[in-house]
Amino acid sequence: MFSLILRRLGSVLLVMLVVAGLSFLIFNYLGDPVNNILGVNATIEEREELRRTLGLDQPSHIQFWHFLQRAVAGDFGISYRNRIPVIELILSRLPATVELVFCATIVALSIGIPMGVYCALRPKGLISRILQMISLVGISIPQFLIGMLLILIFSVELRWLSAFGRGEVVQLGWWSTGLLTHSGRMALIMPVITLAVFQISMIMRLVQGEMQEVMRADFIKFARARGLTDRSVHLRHALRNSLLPVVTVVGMQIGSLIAFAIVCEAVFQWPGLGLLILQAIEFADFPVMAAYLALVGFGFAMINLTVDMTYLFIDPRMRRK
Amino acid sequence: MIRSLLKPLILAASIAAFGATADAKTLRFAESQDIASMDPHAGRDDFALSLLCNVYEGLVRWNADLKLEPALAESWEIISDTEWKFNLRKNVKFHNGNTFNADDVIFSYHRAGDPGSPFAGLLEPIAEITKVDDYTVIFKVKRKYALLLNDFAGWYIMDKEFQESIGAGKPLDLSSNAGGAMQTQANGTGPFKLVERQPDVKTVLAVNPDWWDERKHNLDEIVYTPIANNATRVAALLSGEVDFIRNAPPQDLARIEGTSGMKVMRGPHLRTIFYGMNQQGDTLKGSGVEGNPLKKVEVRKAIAMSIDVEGIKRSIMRGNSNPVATQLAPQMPYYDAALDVRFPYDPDGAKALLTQAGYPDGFTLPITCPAGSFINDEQICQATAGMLAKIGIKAQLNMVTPVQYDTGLPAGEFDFYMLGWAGLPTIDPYNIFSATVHSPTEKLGAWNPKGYSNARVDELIIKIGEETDQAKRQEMISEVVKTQRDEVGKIMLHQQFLTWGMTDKVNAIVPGDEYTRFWYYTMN
Repeated sequence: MFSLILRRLGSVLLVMLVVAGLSFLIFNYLGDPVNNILGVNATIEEREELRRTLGLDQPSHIQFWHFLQRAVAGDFGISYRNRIPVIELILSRLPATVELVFCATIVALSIGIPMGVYCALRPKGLISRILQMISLVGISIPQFLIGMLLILIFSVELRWLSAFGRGEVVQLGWWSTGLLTHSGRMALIMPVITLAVFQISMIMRLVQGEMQEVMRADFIKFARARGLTDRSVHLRHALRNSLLPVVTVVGMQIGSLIAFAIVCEAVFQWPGLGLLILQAIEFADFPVMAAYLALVGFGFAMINLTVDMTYLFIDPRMRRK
Repeated sequence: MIRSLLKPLILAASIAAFGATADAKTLRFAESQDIASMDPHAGRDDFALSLLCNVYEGLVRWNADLKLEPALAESWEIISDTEWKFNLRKNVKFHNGNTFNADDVIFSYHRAGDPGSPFAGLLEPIAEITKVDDYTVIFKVKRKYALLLNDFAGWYIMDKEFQESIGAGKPLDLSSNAGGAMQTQANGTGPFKLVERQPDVKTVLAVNPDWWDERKHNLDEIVYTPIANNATRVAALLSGEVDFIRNAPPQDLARIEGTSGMKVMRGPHLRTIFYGMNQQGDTLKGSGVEGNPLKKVEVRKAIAMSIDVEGIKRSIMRGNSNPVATQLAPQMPYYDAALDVRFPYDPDGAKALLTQAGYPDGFTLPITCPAGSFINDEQICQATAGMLAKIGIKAQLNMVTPVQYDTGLPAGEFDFYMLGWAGLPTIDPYNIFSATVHSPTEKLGAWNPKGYSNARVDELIIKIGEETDQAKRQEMISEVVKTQRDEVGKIMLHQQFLTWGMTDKVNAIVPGDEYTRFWYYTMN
């Protein structure tokens, strides 16, 4: 088992290497940040000089090698755009995104699961049909459209909510939170809805499908035969057994939302990781992009590793292999 | 007893405090991006300087009409062809209370001008600086140079003691992270001082009560928020969360003007938009014909005559542009109205010219167009492609992101490209000519790769940089403009208009260089 974990950790490193390596290949096609740093008035001479200083005149595999050498020592360089160390920058933007994604996920679970259960139990009812239609709309509307519609209604027309930003935040050590202030909580509402709409629809459909499947299983029939109440059969037996795939999918969704909530963050000027990576791409801020993609690769690889370990833990047969 | 005596005092104080907040004028301002840092020497970056001009000042500055006026220098005199003496203003304090004097000027010169500084290019003509006394300095220039004052308006003075105390004696070096403290700190002499900065979230400036100049504005505070998304930025204005957005998106102007309590202030931009092209290469890649058709003046003229710039103004710019025939906007010094005569829009004449040049069946023209660098750039390129089709030229559009465009254009990767130039921060034709008209060399013509090249024009451009006599400069500048126009070195389109959206409460000025000079603003 120990060797298996080691092998898995090895593959995590490999994933990070490949992702970072690929990002250096992409940099060749993005343009370079020299004009953004020096301004339009820089001469050809000055541009060449800066390219040399930053090492951008080297072929990408050499640049990648330099990046690796520094990264091993924990130095990911300085952001060309924000002009602070990349790790510091990424850590300062992480709390905004994590709060947004977790709030959205909680909202999505607490709305999506009841909706799914209801639709599974009364698939032919009028309300179920309406819910299914709504969920179809929720899955198909692009995020920026939802965001803009919310802004038009609640900011421009009603003037209830702020169209941008996180409101007042409180610093708890290196973590910044908007949950402790009124304006911070109000600022969360629209971005959370925007992110949650798709998740609600997805969770509802997953729960509905799984539960309908489970409801046909023998143990449900036995449960009914034992004379258990409907409530107990539905919630304690059927729902519990349908939740496993939901948890897996939602877990993966949280990962990808933290990494790439780009559209939602751009619409609401949410100062998180998605906005950071979007602006880094527009600026050709290579150190941020390289470190960010490598860290995202690391994050996903760790999630997968955890899942594999869990299987190992649950199923003794896998340990013997 | 004491308590009863104190009570009215406390009450009075709290009323006064309340009164002050009720009257406090806060200008909430949103822009598409954040400035890179509070360091005015971190790059020759007009976007950053257009905001930092409120915090820092140069020896001279541009006034509301874009004329030079004294700022930290009270007066100056030209001692010889290569020596300028500046008398510095006395009793000027930095925001932290330090006194401004000659040492700060010398420090700022070395900080910005020493080799390796990203700002060095602007101060390149200066050979050395000497201190005469605490309030007098002499600049020696390497050669006769006409634009020292123009350049100085874009070079801001920093406080020696403060910069050294925070370890930012040099601008940020991206390869080592020396000088990174300037991300959130600033100490200038300007009308506003920095009180809070969260990069990419908000920057708060407060009025500097000890400013040396007479206060004409009535702002107490400026809150600057970057909002990247155009639609969100406009929504923030319409919802009353911000008072002022610079460069309102063209498609939203009607919406802003149609909302009660909102207005759009317009002004001519110094920037003119044109197409530049490969006139040096012997072949034109992808053209499908032998040789390089763009080398022939008839072909360039035919393209110019095929573009209906009035139609572009009407249907794409919605009236917010001014067609021009030369690179100098009418608001640019030394503009020559007599030369601002466009080739007529005449597709039939253009086709005849093409036939005469030996391309009766036209050719394929690869056009590279930035997506988002200039107002409506993509739509203008698409319209151009349609117009060229009428004279038999098949345009092959290649849209690139601004950063790809800014990299590829100076590298000479494009054969026919849209470009706009405003001549900032110098605000003189010399800046336009040296960057976009002079034949490309190590130091000049960075934005004219493989482009227009004329030995006589190159020689004139150098002289325009040296000559201080206005009449002689005018003559030379007009000759450059006329020669380039007659040889169709560029295919000119129009001058952009600035369209700034704001609430009725704000009285702004809209200068052609896009700088927000908040010391001219008032709020009702």
